[in-house]
Amino acid sequence: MSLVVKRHIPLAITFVMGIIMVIATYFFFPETPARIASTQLTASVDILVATAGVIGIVVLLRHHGLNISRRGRFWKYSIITIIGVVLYLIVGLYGIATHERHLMLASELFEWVYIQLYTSMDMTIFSLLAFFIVSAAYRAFRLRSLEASVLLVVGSLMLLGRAPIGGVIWEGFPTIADWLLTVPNAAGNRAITIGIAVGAISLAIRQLMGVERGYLGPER
Amino acid sequence: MNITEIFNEGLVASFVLLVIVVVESLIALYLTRGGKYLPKIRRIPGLEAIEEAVGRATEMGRPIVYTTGLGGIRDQYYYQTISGLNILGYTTELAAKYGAKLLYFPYDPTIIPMAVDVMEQAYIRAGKPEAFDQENIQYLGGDQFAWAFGVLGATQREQSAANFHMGPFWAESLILAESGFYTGAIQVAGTANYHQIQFFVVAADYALIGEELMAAGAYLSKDPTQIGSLWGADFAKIMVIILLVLGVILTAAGVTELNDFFGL
Repeated sequence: MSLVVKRHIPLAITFVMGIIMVIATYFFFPETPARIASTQLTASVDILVATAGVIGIVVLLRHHGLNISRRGRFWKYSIITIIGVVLYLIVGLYGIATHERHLMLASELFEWVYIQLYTSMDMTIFSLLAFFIVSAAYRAFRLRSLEASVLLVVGSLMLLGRAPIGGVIWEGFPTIADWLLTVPNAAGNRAITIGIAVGAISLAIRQLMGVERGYLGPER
Repeated sequence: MNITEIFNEGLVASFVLLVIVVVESLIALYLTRGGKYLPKIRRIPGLEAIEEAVGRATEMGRPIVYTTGLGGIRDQYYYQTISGLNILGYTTELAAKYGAKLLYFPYDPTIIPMAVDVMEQAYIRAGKPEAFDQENIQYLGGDQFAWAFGVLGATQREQSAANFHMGPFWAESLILAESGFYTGAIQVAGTANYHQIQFFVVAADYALIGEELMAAGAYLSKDPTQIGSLWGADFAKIMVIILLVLGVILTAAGVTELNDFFGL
């Protein structure tokens, strides 16, 4: 494939699309080509995403299919994965085939599987986060450096300020916690946010100008 | 048609700032084009540590785990995903040179084709195009915790020696960073989601904070023009600092025009 097709055309498309979106954000052009183009561009992303969803399923099934056929590591788990994908697909298609609901809505069976099985597992996983926080906090709060000491003191004050027992021990703890959140924490957050905003614009300019091309494919 | 009729008046301040930042960046790009002037940029330890981490994984004969967070190309966090893909290219090139195995776990299927291209390009740059294996890009699913625990499971099973998490992360950030800690992996993590930065700072060995993630592509490329754009961004930050100081002084003096202009 020539360099024009692999590199120049994608860069030109990126530039034109970027400029159209910037114009559409700042200017009102009712019923003008720029406005219509931006609306259609936004809608076309949904089509792209739907197509990419199929790519995801194909990659998933291909990977686990190959793992089973090669008797790779943990290949039995790959069987469970494929069964899960296929069964859920059948449940979804069954709901559409029986016209139980409109095409865009999930059937009752589909929702039952989602809520009774998937959501329960999802929440179980989410709840494990509490234990990860404890183990990370244990390491972070060890008094090894000045920064860790500050973290320990501030973290302890925040805990006492936010937990009901803190206010019972001393009514000043919630006030200190509020001050920590709204003054030093907000200042730090805003500084980071400003840096991110400027950095994102700088990155966008590099991409629109075709200077940063790391996300594009091989030139050869 | 009058310009005032079609301009979105609520975004005047944003537009003015955007134009100033764009002009500054373009001037910086022009001045540094072709290496005419090479500004000095500060060292970013997180990015310097990538080679060390890849080297360690190679020595230990264990794989590298790489993720770009929960972003895709369709959301407002895409700039973080793109930055993550830029670093993926650099990391994959190093892994290809050293002969280490790199496993990439995309969250959003829209980035799979881009990731394939980026990794293939990296193997070509490393002079080992035949070593590129598409099977090292493993899609785990498009749900936050299913994906996070998929990565956690892979990290534990493969006993990864180096983990990289670069992109937009939410509640799963600590799950990923802790799983790497338990396998003893060197971890480099970066995000511009400021509510998750502290988790990476605490749990990872090196953290890229906010804009450092976006600067990574330019930093790692060593390309004078790209580095020049970082220089332009620094001018934009100086302008913001001047505006902040001016705003504080004017507000203290009872002058509210600047605040009104920015809708504060």
